[in-house]
Amino acid sequence: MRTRRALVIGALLAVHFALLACYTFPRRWVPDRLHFWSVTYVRPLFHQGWDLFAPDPPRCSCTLQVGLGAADWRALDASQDHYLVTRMHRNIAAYLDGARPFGDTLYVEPLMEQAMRAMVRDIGREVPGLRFRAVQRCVTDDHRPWERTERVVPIVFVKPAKP
Amino acid sequence: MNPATIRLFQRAVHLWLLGYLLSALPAAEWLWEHPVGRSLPVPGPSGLLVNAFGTWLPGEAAVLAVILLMAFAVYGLWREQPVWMAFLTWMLFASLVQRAWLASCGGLLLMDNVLLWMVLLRSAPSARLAEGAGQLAFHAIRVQLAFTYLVTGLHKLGGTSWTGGTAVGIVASDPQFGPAFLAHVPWLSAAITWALLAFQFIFPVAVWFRATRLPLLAFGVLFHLGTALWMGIPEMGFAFIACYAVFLNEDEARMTMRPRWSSR
Repeated sequence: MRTRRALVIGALLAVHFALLACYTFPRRWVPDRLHFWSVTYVRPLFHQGWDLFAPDPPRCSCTLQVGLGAADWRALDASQDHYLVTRMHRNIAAYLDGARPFGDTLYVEPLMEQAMRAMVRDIGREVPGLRFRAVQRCVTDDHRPWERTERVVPIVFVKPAKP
Repeated sequence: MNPATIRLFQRAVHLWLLGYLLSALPAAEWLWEHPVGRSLPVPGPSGLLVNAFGTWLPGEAAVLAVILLMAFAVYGLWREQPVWMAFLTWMLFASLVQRAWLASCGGLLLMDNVLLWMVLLRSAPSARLAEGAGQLAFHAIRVQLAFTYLVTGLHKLGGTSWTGGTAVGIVASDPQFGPAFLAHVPWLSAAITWALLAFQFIFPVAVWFRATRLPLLAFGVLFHLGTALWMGIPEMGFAFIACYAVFLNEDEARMTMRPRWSSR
């Protein structure tokens, strides 16, 4: 009875973690069909991802800023220094692929535009026509990471595509 | 699998849950009351369980759920939660994480998974089926932890900076992280880079052996305290440390909980 139970538990764990592996392993290692099945199984209840600072840590530090006047720029999380508000700021920058150098202009989709505006909603109520920009400080030589070049990139919000 | 280890693990997780919710309260407006990120759907019918607020529960209920969860966590510290309470704890926590998805991190997702398995995890199961389910949950949580390190290590092999020894220097020089001095000491940052990479591959194997388990967990505690301090992911660091309790044996668990456990 104990052996049978151990076998059943082992089999269930093997299937569970095989599907988790297909979901979390580097995407190019997993065939499309297996990845599809893993998403169907894992995403609703067991969602996870383990690629923080991988395959490489971000070579650019990215700060998103809101402009209040001609020269007054503040970070999106400036009004609150709570660690979870700072996390939201970082995650928005990560979703915008801020770990790599942007082009001359950063085009932002409506989902992240809404999030950026929500981060500064208190300011937005008082100051009309807020402007946004990204400030990146990028490593140019991995062996001298403290030497970073700074880039200021204007942000343009993209209107949602018409159906 | 023994009752002392399970109770210690349950208490560690509930202590983490209470600490996380208390630490998040000052940002409740941004996380749950009027979340910064627009609500995203979760596929499948079971997705409703982890995305309750704004779907079949009113969004305004999220703040009440935080208070309820804190009460459940306090109960879990005192004694083992009944199944219904463990299920509600998981469902409400997962829905809060989903509502504040823009503030999410690996530690919250780890706890999401752990709390789900904890619905099945009993320190004194009353029936054979419950015993089997408890064993499944216990081993799933252990393997999940080992699996997590393995996957994060594998991802790091795909780049150049971890194997090249420059990764920690790059992170340390990032004004959003730190500590900045590490970037200026290349041999030290290279040693830490390789030690972390080695840890992530050694842990999934060596944690199962008596001789290596405790030194490995001690290194892991230091590593996660470092990430809590400098990486801005305190709840992730403490989530892993709390989960380490599942690897302690009966004597170690009793010793950790003494005198409370021995008085029962």
